[in-house]
Amino acid sequence: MKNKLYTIVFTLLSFSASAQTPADGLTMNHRQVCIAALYGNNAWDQYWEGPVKITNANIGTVTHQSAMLMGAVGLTERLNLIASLPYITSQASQGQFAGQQGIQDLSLWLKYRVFDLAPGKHSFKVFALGGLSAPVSNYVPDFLPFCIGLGSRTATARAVIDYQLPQGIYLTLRAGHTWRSNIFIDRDAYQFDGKLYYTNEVPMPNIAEGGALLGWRKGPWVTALTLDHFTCRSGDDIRPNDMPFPTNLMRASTAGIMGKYQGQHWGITLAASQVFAGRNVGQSRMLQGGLLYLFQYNTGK
Amino acid sequence: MAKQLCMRVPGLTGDVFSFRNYYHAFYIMKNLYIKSDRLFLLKVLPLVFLLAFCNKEIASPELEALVPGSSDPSGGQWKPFLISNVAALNIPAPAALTSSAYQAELEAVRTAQAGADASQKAGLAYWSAGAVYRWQEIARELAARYNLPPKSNPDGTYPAPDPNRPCDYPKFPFANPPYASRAFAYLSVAQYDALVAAWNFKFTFKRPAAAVNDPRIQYLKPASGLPAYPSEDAVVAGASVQILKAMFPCESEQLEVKAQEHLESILLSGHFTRSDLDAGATLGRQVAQTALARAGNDGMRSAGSQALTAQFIQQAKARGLTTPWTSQESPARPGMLPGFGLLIPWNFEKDVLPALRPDAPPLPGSDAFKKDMDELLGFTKKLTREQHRIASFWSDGPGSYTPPGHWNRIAADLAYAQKLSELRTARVMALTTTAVADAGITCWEAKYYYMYPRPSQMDQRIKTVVGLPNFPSYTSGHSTFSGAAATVLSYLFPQKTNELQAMAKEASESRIYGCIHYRFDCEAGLVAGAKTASFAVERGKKDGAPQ
Repeated sequence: MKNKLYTIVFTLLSFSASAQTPADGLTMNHRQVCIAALYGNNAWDQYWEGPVKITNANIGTVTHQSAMLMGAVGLTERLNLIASLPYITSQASQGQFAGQQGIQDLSLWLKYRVFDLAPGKHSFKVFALGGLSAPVSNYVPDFLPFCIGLGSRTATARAVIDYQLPQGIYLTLRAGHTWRSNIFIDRDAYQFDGKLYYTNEVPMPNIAEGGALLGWRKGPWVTALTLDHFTCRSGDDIRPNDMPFPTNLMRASTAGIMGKYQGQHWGITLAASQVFAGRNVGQSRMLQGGLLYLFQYNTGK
Repeated sequence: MAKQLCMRVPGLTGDVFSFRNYYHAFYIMKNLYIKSDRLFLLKVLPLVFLLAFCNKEIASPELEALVPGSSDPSGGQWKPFLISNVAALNIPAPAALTSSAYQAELEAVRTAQAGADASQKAGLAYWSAGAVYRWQEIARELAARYNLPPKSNPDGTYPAPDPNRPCDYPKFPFANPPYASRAFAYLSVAQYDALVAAWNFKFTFKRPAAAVNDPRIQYLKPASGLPAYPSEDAVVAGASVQILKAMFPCESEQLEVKAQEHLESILLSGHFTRSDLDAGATLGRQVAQTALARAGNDGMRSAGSQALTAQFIQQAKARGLTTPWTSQESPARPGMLPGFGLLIPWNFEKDVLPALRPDAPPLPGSDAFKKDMDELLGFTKKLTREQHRIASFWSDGPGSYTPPGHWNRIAADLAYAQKLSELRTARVMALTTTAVADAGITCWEAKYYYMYPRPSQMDQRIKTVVGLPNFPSYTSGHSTFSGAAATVLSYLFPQKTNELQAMAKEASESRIYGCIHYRFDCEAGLVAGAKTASFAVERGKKDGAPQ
């Protein structure tokens, strides 16, 4: 359920696997570019209906797959631009519900290294990030849990702190807030929090999120344990035996592991994670892998 | 806390993406701007934060007060549905205008008007849109909130809502489309019959409105030109609360509170004094009891009996059906309301039903069957965005007000747009909702007579973008309800005929796009709905109201 929300967060965080992402403490050097092609597989059969975890034989296991293109470029020594665009498909293993597919949302991030200390052989960095996303296709935003996205335009503000010891062990902490625009659904009446609204405009709860990476970096290798949490700041619960709806208060805590090898040009990234606590979300198991290509431009100068 | 702060800045919502919001914020800032104030930007910063952190509420549209286009002095002679002799209803004569009792009531209205605060005035504005209109809205919200099928027990059986323990899970009722259609019909008939009675007594007693009798009382709701005793608002409140308490028993307390709010709000209007309201409320509740007596014996009590399903399957097989409908839910759920086709219709005799039943659908495997199945396989393979929109727009599935609720809304909005009086609005609602309820009876009669399997039962490749209802396929409920509603509303609002017929057709098509009905289910449903509604139209033509 909320895979849409998932996919937004999914794309932003599980890419702790790629060269650098809006969730980690790495940056592209000036004029360095990384292109990533990533495949993601997100599946659950247990989900939280409000606070209660259940399964539903009428949908079985719900799987979302994504193929995403992502690029990061060092615009200046301190400023990076990151962009991503996924294509997503969904399906249910049981029952007669149709899956959905399509190009989802374009995300653009600016990552600015505010602060950079290197006491001894340690490193301490602080980043400020701003991100925007918007749907690129006119997909259906409220056919949950099968829709490929929730249809909001979003704006995110985030801070990332990265601390690394000389041996390569590092800790990255991140906290952020996402504002989401209202969406327009096909129906012109819906229920929210026990009240019936006669409009097709649906208010979307904003999101608070945070996470941590505890890992090791040396040369071309990066590996880490990941911990992530997001929560909607308002919203209602899925009603008993009902379908989820974009107004739901979605919340998930995820633990995982990632690894990456980045050579001079080619690289590979892998990640796996599992939602272990949540509300109005599926207890997703997420797998991701991808190819990376790193290069410089305008090096002749 | 941010929520309360946001409410204090009228017009400002928390939608950072709304240009309207920024324009409004800019306008506020512009008005606050003092050129000489160097700290202006700092002072305005909290406004920016409010913008960013406000809770985004979608405001309900504000509706203008109803100013009825007609007073219909002979409305008391129109023919009710259930009350045989309106004049025989028990209503005391009003006290004389000069009596000290009435004078004291006028003083109470003056006091109430003088002491009315903003929220009380807002309450009056809400109820002024129309008593029938607002109580129908309340009924739709209840239908939506109760429209959820029960979850299965761990052993795979399904619990049934218990009217004797309505607040225990699964709450009573499961407000599915037939149940909702019946609830709306009883509500509307009670409102209409009670208003016919009210009009009869209004123009018998001819007591002027409070503001007419006392120049110190203002009209806080536009004058209606109607005599005040009994109050039409109170009549509707009294009738509606009794019906809705019976239909949604777990809401009884909240409904009585709502009715009380209605009466207290209307006391501020300047139209009525307390005795006008009391007489109206008593009359409304009395009429509702007549309707509820019918409800106790209309066949609904046994409509859920699964013994009927077994019987219907046997009979259908005897007629040559090889693949009867089976539940596609996991675990399998008993078919919904197999006995709804046995209810007593509103606008015709029960023995007419077989004549309204469509001819048999194509045999599975036949050419006609394959043609419509291929169409569905095509939609499973490719559904355009517009087709998906239509399927969603008309889906009215679990958690919604149901297709009868959708047409209830359309009818109420048409009446409101035409500024019809309470009496005329109630007539529109009564004719429409009883036709739709009759359509439910016709449709369910056909569904369980033919026991026809759903498309996804016959071909596992079929995938749906809306939920698959748990009852047989032929004919389509959406199509039958829509065909009936559009027929009645076209009679009541002839200038809207083309628009209404197009909406009914689209509602019917939406089920094909959703791949939960064959085209032949939908075509037969539209026809059956129109035929069923012709009896409501006949009633309308003969009920004494201006055509």
